[in-house]
Amino acid sequence: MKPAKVTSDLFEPLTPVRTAPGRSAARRRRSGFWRDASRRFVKNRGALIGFILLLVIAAMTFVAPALSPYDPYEQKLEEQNRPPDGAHFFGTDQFGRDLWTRTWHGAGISLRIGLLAALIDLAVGVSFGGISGYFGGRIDQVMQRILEVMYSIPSLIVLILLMMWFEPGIVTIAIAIALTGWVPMARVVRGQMLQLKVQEFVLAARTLGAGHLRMLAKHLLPNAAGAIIVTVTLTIPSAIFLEAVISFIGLGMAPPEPSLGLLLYDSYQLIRFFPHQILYPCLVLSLLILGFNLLGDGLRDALDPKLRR
Amino acid sequence: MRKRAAVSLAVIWVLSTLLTACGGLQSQGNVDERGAQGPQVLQLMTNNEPGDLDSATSSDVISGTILNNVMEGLMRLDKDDKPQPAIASSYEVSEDKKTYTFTLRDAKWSDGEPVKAQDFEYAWKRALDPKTKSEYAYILYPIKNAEKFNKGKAKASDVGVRALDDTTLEVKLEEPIPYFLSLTTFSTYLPQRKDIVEKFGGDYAKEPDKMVYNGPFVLDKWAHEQNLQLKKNENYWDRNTVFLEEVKIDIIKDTSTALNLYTSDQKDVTMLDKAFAEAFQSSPEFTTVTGSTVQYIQFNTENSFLANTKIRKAISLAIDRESMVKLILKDGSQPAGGFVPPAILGYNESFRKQAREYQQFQPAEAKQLFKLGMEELGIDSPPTLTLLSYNDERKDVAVVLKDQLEKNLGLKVKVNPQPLKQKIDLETKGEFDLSFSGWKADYNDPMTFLDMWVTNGAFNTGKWSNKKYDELIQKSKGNPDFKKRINDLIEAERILLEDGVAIAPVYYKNQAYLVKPHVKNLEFHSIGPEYTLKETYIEKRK
Amino acid sequence: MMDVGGVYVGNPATHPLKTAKVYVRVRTYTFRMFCVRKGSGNVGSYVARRLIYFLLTLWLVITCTFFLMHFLPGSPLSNEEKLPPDLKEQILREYGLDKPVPVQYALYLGNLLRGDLGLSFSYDGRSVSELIAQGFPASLQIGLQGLIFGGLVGILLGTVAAIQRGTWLDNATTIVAVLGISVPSFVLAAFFSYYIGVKMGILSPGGWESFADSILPSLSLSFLVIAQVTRYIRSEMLDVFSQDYMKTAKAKGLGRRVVVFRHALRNALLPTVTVLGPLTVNLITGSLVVEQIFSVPGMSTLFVNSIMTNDYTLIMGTTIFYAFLFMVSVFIVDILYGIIDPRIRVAGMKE
Repeated sequence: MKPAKVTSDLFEPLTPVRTAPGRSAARRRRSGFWRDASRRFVKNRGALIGFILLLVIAAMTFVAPALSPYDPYEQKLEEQNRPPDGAHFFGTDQFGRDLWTRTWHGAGISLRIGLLAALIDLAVGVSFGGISGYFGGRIDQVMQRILEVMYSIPSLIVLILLMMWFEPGIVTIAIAIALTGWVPMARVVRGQMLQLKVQEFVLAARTLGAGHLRMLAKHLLPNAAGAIIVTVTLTIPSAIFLEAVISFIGLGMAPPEPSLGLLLYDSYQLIRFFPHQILYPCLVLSLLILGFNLLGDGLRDALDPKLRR
Repeated sequence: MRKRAAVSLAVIWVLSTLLTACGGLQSQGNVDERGAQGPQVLQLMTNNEPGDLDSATSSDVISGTILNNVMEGLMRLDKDDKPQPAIASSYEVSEDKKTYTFTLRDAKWSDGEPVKAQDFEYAWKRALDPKTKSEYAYILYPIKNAEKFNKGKAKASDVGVRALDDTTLEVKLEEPIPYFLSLTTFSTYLPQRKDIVEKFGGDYAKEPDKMVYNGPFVLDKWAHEQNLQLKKNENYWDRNTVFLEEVKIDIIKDTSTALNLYTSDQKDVTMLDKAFAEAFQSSPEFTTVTGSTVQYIQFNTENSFLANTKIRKAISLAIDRESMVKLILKDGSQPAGGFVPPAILGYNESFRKQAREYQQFQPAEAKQLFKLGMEELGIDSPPTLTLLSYNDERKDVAVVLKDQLEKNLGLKVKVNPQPLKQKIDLETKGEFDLSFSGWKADYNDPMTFLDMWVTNGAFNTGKWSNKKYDELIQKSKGNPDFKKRINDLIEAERILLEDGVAIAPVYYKNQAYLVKPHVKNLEFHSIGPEYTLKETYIEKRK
Repeated sequence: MMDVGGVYVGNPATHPLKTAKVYVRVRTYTFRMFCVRKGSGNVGSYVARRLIYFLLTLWLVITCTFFLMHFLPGSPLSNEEKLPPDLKEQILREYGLDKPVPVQYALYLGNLLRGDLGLSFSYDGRSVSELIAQGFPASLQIGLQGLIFGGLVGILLGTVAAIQRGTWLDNATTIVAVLGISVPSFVLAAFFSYYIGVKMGILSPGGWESFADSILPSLSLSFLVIAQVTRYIRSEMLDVFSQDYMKTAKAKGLGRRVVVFRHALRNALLPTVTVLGPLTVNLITGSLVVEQIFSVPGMSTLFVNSIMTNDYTLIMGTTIFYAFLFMVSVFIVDILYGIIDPRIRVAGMKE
């Protein structure tokens, strides 16, 4: 209608571009990009610290229980609410269970819930937001309305139904969290798409005959990587938190399985009596999230082609 | 002579002070005599918004407690949970114990109108009217034709309650029951004014100015979800015994916030969560109130493993109730060897005092029985059982139960905590192996606990069945010999727990409170409402 | 509490005229945007279409929620644990809850069209609209206070971190942001309630009577906002710094502050606004945990309780309200896109 309107039919490729040399060139370039990225990542000290921090915590979730003679589930009521000492490094809870093993075990469960939920968010959110923002127009309109519907249906109802139909566990909780968790991701990606698709390099790529998939995968998404990664690094902690809030309503992991959220929930009311019960799980949680954030920053700087110097 | 008079006066003074200190003084004396000093304002908290202040439809304890203090029925519970004449000054019971005639005293509503016998007739029939949709209508079923009217099978005029004149109320019962007087203290039995109810229609009792009161207090302000304010009712017939001028009840949902408000001296009383009970157990402000709730494990006898009585008994004997109560609950709850809680009356005294304790912790015998049971079933290893549980603080108990059964029997148990509605649904559908449940008394009689377990009983979701038991319960429902009746009920409980092991009782739930020392005569109840403030007063604050 | 202008400019030394200029330019964009729309003659049809979509979405939300809700086991009756089954059946019949769900749905839609949200079950037949009108203001207050405070602090921290990238200041803001995001709100709330409410005795540990009572809940809510906003602003500003027009701006000899605030911050605000939209709705419809711990008589307690008690009418009422707010916020965010970033105006016009 208007000259300002840029549609794909204005840029019909003259010849098919899916030729062998073009592909291998792309692959070469891609490997160059990843090598470049990893070099920049290693050079970024904060990112490295974050990465190591996460590795250590992840390793601890496996190793730490072995460092203690106690079982995370075993109750000894006569040893309840002990402060930390040489035997129980983090003390014990109201059932006399060892908090050191429970904290690390719980960190493992929280990590799995967070990662799984973030993975689902990433897959659903990026494809949904990407398609919506890239194609725009009617498709975008429809998809945005679907997103609003999805976001507006109370997830608590779905969560309760999920908990009824399946056993409360890592997967159920992760799915429940991802049900609405992908919406912010989709909106961020869509926002990026809207911003990027009118830029010169996209126009150039289109002129060169790039298809939709190639446009999205090669040009638009890498450029949106910064925002996507930051969103992911926020998604994992918020998934871990949502799990804690779910525990607050009484719908979390089935006892006696611990998660960091559940450990915090069990002890938050006791903050004035047994601060140690909340201190250590909280500390582990903070370190975990610090790790994700540092890593996210690093990845962002490393992956964002615009920041290449 | 004069000296002796002085001495005897001093003795009386000391005695009365002592009695007051024990909270045992029931005198009608004035403020000074009791030691009430300073502003008579009490600061309370509750953990939820009262659901419904229309006494005909109200069914929650919080509303029941408010109603108990702003309204008054024929009878009122005293501090020992015994019904005492209130709006009724006296009553007569017929020979067959099926007709009660109440004589009303000269009492007034807060708007100055007299409280009439018709107000009771109207309120009860309104609660029974199917159109009212009262979820507590069944509490009126002992009245003749009440159930039929409620189910649309009889007319309102058939119901056995009738105002003979303004001050005489006649009530006819279906069967003779020993607990009818205590029923008349409950909120569904409170009077209502026809003119007021009809004037406000759907808005009745939704706001303080859309209802009238005949109790010690009136509801002065009600900021929904925030707080309620009670004020002394100047039209109350017994206003001279009421000392409190004002009661402020804040709605505080989180128990630790409530404790924070209490310890920062902003509130006078707080319920104490089990999590904090330990820290305050030795405080003089700590009190526990005997409840009328029993917590127990229900067995699903349709599960082939649990159909075996020896297995069920083994599970019950493997529960260490003592350490559960001492180390986990800490709120004064008592280990349960029977099903009917101690607060429930038998014949003139606690039912528990007359009945035996059946199940105690006997790990060796439990193991033995468990082995025998498995032999009978012809299996070598027990299946994994799911333990359905509440998802509130009671799931901690489920976690300990799981541990005890695993340790003492080698029985694998999976805890499945569910929100209340879902739990009820799963139970009704029979989708559970073990279910950790609670039952609170509706009225002060063992029947409210024991008639659950008759064959095909609505709440007997474990499908346990015993013919002798059914007969005993049926017989006791209309037995005019109340002493014999209690003996039958004692036998029924024995069958339930010793022969049949339909359930494994775990503990009788009590509630811990912290009460500031300057609050006197705050009467907590085991059954029905939480407390009565009628004679509460504030002593000098420290 | 906070000097909005001061924070936006970031430096009190900035000449007031410069602030004014930014403002003027934002206004110009808005004006131009609508001019373009008017010029193309479809501002009316745009709004109309948007409205139709709006109603369609709302209807979809209502339908999905209605049927999902009826999958929840149990009934909305409050005394369900002790209600004899035949009495229960009879009461359900009286409420019309024995009818097939599609029939109930049709009836509900009919009432809704007449503007009747129905009566709540768990709150003794009080009207749903009244309950929402009573719960929303408190949630709105603590939510907005948390949002404004958190947003301003977040923008400040994020900007500082981006400008001072790689220095100790950057690391310090990262740590502040992480602290805010790594402690669950109920731990924070419990901590505030005990240490500020009891130990220090400055504010009340809970309750809802005066403005002072809203400080702690708002503060607890703002931590999440600070963390999110800081991260996004930092990330986006770094992005913007590497853009060519930034080099141009610098090359033109524009002052550092002008570059940062006029160009970088405004461009960085776009994605931040994107996440803030839904977050705002979350905040102003309340946080269950914070409301519960500080006894704020807000929306989220209402919402969660309604689901826990199967209070059908209240579930629907709060869901519709929530959906409405969410969609309005999305709409506003879409408009803000155009105001903040003229580049997407072209794409946006396609709608």
